[in-house]
Amino acid sequence: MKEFDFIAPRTVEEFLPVLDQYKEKAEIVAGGTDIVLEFNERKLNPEVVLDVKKLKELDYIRVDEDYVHIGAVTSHATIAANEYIKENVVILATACGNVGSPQIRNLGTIGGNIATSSVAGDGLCAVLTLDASVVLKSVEGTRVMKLSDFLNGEGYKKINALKANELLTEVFFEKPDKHTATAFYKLGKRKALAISMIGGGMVVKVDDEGICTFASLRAGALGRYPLQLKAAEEFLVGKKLTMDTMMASLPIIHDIVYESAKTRPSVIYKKEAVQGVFHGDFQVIEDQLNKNMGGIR
Amino acid sequence: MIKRGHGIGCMFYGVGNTGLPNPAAAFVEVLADATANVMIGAADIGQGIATVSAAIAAETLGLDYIDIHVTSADTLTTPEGGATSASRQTFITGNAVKNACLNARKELEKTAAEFLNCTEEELVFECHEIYSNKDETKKMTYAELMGSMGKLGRLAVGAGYYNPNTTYLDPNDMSGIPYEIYSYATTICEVDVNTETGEVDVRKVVSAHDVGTPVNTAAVEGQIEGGVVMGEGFVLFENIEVDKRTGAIKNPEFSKYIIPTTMDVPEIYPIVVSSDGDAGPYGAKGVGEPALIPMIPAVTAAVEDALGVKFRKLPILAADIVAAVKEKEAREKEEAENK
Repeated sequence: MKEFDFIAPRTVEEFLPVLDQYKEKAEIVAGGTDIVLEFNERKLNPEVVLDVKKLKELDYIRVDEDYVHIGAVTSHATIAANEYIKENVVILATACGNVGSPQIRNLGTIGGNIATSSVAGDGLCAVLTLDASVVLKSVEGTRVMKLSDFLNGEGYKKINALKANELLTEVFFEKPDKHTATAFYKLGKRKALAISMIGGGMVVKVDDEGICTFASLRAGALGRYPLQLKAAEEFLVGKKLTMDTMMASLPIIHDIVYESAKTRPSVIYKKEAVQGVFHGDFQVIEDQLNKNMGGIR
Repeated sequence: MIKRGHGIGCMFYGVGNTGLPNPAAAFVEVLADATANVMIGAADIGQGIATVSAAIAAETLGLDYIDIHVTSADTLTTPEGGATSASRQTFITGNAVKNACLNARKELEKTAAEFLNCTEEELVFECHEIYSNKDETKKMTYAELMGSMGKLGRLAVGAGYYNPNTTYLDPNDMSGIPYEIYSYATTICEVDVNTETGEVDVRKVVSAHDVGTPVNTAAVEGQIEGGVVMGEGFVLFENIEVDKRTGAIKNPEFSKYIIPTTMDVPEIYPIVVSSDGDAGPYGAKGVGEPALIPMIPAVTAAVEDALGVKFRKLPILAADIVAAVKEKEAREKEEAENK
């Protein structure tokens, strides 16, 4: 690790001018579970490291009328243990609850997971499936954008829309109601401390008759960003969301994954395994709809 | 679909190096305060040879376990111990410690026999006391014995070694006596296999081991549990990925070389089976490698039982399972069409 100056402002108001001063010369560290490895391996050699973990004002989970807001430095452990999230946003509780190990979950943050935009980020996959938005702040002002746009953005690191003087402060998504069900299935090489081979996120909404009005399916670790299974979403919308219907989408999911990665040898396994992953999600979805709406037949 | 399978693995295992001399030695000194120093060359890599040596020394000298100070694997001071391998240290170093203690006892026996006015043969050393097995009123404490030793200017020191009773093997037909004693074990395992993702959940393992007379039952159980987890990793996780062009190992780090975590550990029921351990010290045999060995065929058989397919190589990874399931489905479909 190269020597660097370490600055840990206590408020966002203090933080932003400092970030603006150093821009590309600075790296922002939250939990440090990814970036410290890159420092150690000298893949990153910043002059200045800015710590956001002292920004207590960004450690929150707030639920208002329409949205769930999560501050960027909220840890995976905090999210996974939050009663509201556990009860109403199963996808996020499951994803954050299966990141790495207890130590990593205590350190790692949702904001870090999003800003790093790692291929295998479970938290990122979950909030992207929830069609979340992010809040980016700089001395110039505040930008709010869809997470999907954020990931496709051409920011200073070319991995997302983040500008060199911007801080990701919040992720928020629509508050799930009783007509919503969500699930996440992590497929790793073992039960803990495993990087996702596939992380399957699923969010659906149904009407009073159980007809699917919205579907969002994302497969993490299969592309640069969690792969949208668009044809499967389109297949589900408008149909009665029974187990049979959901199972009928598996061949479509198979084809999407095969098409997305057919040049890679691992696709032979992944196009099959992704069906098992979403089968696991379907079971969780079915249970939730049964619980919330007394079942769909 | 989740499919459940069961498997059984059995083994017998020769303790020590195969058809080769592999001795180990020990030094012992009984001190004036009725404690003892034991020095062994055996390396304690966590299996507990220091604990075992202390117990064997205490048993032989008539002292308590806490009275024994063991120095192990210090090449400056300790004698030859050979490798900590082949499940040999309890058997071989254990016997060396016993022999060293018996040698150190000679001077103690001479002194006690004089003090108690009896023969050396009838003396019993037990729980800090020395008494005659013919007349139990003839007894003295260890403190008294060491006091007498001091007055007479005698020291209780002993060296001992043990080399298993084996022969070289005939180079033509490999006949001969490769090992002096054998350990036996059976492991039974239950798994759930997800046929779609290839995930294997090792649920329960029962592992029964004939260890002769266990020196320390908790330590034997610990070794069995450790071996079970290692065997699980051998079958389901540990995979050395080699670059076919350069021969370099592609995953030489623990983030990529996968071994089981605590979360992967099944329910383990170790069963310690006592038997006549023959030549082992107080009848003890080795369990180091036996703890691991039968788990490997047990898990493999359990996965095969769940899926109805055979695997020809280890590890069996998730991708191998999914490939085998697909292959079986295709084969069955073809057979059905041919009918």
